[in-house]
Amino acid sequence: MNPERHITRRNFLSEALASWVFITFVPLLYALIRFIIPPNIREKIMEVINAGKYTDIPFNSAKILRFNKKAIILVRTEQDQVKAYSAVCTHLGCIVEFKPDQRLFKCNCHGSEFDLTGKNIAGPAPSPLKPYRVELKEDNVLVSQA
Amino acid sequence: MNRFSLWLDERLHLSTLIQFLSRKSVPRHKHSFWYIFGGLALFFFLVQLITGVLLLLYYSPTPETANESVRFIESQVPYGWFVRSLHAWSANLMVATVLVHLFSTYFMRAYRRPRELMWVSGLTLLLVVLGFGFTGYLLPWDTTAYFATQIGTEIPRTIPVIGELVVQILRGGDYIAGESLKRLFALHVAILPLVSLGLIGLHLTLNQVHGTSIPIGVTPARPGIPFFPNYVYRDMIAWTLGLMLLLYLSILFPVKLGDKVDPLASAPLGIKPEWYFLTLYETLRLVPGMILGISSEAVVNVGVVAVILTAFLIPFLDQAAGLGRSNRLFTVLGLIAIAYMIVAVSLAYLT
Repeated sequence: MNPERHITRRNFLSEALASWVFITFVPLLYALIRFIIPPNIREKIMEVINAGKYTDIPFNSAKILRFNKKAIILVRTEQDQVKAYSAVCTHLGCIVEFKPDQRLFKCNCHGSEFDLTGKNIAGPAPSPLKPYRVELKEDNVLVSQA
Repeated sequence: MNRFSLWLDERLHLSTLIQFLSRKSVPRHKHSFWYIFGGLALFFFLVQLITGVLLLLYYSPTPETANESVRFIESQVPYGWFVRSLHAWSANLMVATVLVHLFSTYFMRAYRRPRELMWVSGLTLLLVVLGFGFTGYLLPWDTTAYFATQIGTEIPRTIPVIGELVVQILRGGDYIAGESLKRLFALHVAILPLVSLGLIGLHLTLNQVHGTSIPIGVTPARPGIPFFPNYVYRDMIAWTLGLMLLLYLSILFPVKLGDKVDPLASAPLGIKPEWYFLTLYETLRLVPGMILGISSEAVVNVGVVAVILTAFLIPFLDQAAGLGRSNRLFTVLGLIAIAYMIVAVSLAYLT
């Protein structure tokens, strides 16, 4: 510290005021930022869901349902296989549609296409649809994380 | 002056203001026509404020009631469809006039020293206006709006470090839901209007401080156009024409409300955002999923941020303009930007 530094009453008050502003507003800014960020609320995670009767899904058709707040698409193929994938397009998150005539999933937002194994085959989607495990139990379709 | 005018003048000093405005003049030259678009953008902003406040009387921002309240406005409230159409069409016209104003000031080099901050505040206003369009789009809570917002709020995810956080803040959670509607509503009716009023105030004050810019190499006719009443009358003619266009569009092409959001429905075929986001939409559609091992959204994000930052820096990059010389490179860059926008929007409509 410079011993010859002359601190006037005005300098002292200005610096005290600046310090006060800093000390007051930094915590307030922190609180404001924390307020804007939504709280992370833990919700009950389902391990497995019952997606309904196997026979309720016609051949070569699909239905969309919710699994832990995420949309999944359940498809019954012409070969009588039942498969489940995330219905969320891996490009920008739109919900895909099953096209029975083309036997594929299509996202109508930007035209991405996925085959019946979930693989991205056309459009801007960068990766395949996430698969889910499907089990049949007395005609009921049970879906769980793969 | 009659007695009432004298009474008013004694309290408000209006004659001082009128004297000041009549001394102020607007340059008269072959490009003066382009000056009207700033005022016209302000006019459509005022229409937005008035119709927005009217819609607030009936609108209810919850997932259960939003779509129904807009349907109620359209079908039950007297002239509700008209007020809603005025709001939607004036939003489109506001974006269009802001864009024309921005590009005209760009080509006239109105951003050059000492008006750099006018350019910066104007460009920020364009972003705020686009923010109005984006946040207002979800409020009717219909299918198209839902997926448009899904896409729009998903794009920032690939921003390094803060991407996830930005998505969370915009959506109020992981998914587009009631929290997202509340947040975008708050942005649309409170935060953005406050920000835009501040920015418009700054922009107009700077215009007052520096006066209207004259393009490089143009010698204006003397005397200029007195601001009051001559230029104000010109502005009023432009505003009247703008109002006529707005009424024509609102009456002949009233906006339609889509089906209520079903989060488990597939995105409808042919879904597209508003025309002013089509350049970004088409770019996202055309680029492949991965570019050199990096996701296309990340590449587009970086590109968009780079373009915006460059646009902000134009007054500081174009040193020649500050010295009164026109650099052809900046004219070419502006023309390329316009051409790209036209091509992308046309492709989005035609394909």
